[in-house]
Amino acid sequence: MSQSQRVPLRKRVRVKTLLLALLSVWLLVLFLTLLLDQARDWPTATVGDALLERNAETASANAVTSVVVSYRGFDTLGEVTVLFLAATGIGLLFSAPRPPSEPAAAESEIAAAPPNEMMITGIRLLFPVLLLLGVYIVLHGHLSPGGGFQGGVVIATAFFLRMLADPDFRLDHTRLGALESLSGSGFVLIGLLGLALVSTGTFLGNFLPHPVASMGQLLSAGVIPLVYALVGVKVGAEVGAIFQDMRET
Amino acid sequence: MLEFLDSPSVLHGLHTIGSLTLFAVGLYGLLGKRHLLKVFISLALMELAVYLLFIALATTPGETAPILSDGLTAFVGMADPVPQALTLTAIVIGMAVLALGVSLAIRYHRLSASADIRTLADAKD
Repeated sequence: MSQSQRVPLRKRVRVKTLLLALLSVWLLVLFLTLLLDQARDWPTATVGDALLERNAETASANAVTSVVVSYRGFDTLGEVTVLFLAATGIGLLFSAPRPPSEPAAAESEIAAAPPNEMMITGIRLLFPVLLLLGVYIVLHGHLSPGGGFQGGVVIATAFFLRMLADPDFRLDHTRLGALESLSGSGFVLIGLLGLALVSTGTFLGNFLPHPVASMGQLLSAGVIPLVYALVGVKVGAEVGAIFQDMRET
Repeated sequence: MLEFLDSPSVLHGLHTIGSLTLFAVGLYGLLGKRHLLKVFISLALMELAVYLLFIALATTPGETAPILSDGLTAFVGMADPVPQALTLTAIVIGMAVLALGVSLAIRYHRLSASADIRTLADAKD
């Protein structure tokens, strides 16, 4: 008798798991019935096709970049702001004083273990290459797959590897902040210049010369590579600051 | 033998099923797991499923990436660039949200020595 009483107790956990799985499967079927008909005959003429048709006017060989920076540049500004807010929040969370319940000594002991020799040498070899790759990806954002976001993260990763290899290496927060605010205000300034100049008259308007003939060259597409480089600096500084904040604690 | 996979409706249907399955797995993890880090990973999984759905539905078989390179000279027969740009935006936002959430979890673990989402609901002060 005692066994039969114990079984439902154990079963209760499984029933809950089962119910959750059932709920997920039910939602899956619901979404599938809603979306499958739509997906099977997806509209072929979309706003993207209209943008592709007139994409030559930006003289950017990469249509995704011209959408991100030019046609939907305002979205990108908001996105960079969200990233900035997240980085600020993380800095705020980790700058709070350590609670007395957990002594700092225990953690610093773990941190004091020297990094592997293999890692130090490997990262010494990789660091300049990664930095170069990041800069290349940022600067070729309007020509090839890539751009400010991807390249900025690659640059931040290079510095993160350096932090792993060298316990004494740290990114200066004031310098990172200066870099971040300079690139952020540069972005807004370029956007406002586009708005102020009569020839363009729109926010982030392409006021620099961007002849279609030069499409595919490094110096083309006018203001787009400039904005993307600023975004790259900003993303790199922010992600680097996040890494630094997480390592300091 | 597998030519029927090239028709857009079959391919889009398969992509929808796959990414929605991923979404359901993430949803199950979000509701069923108690460890905070697992909850954040599930959230990231659900985001990934949405990115996949976005990119997959906007591309029909035979379209190239919307970039003029490798001998292409005109923006014809290319994939829709707008969902790709939106996904690029969403990935960065997802990364920022994940980093903020994980650092909140670390902070909470440091204060209470637990990473359980149930005790988080009990914490009033």
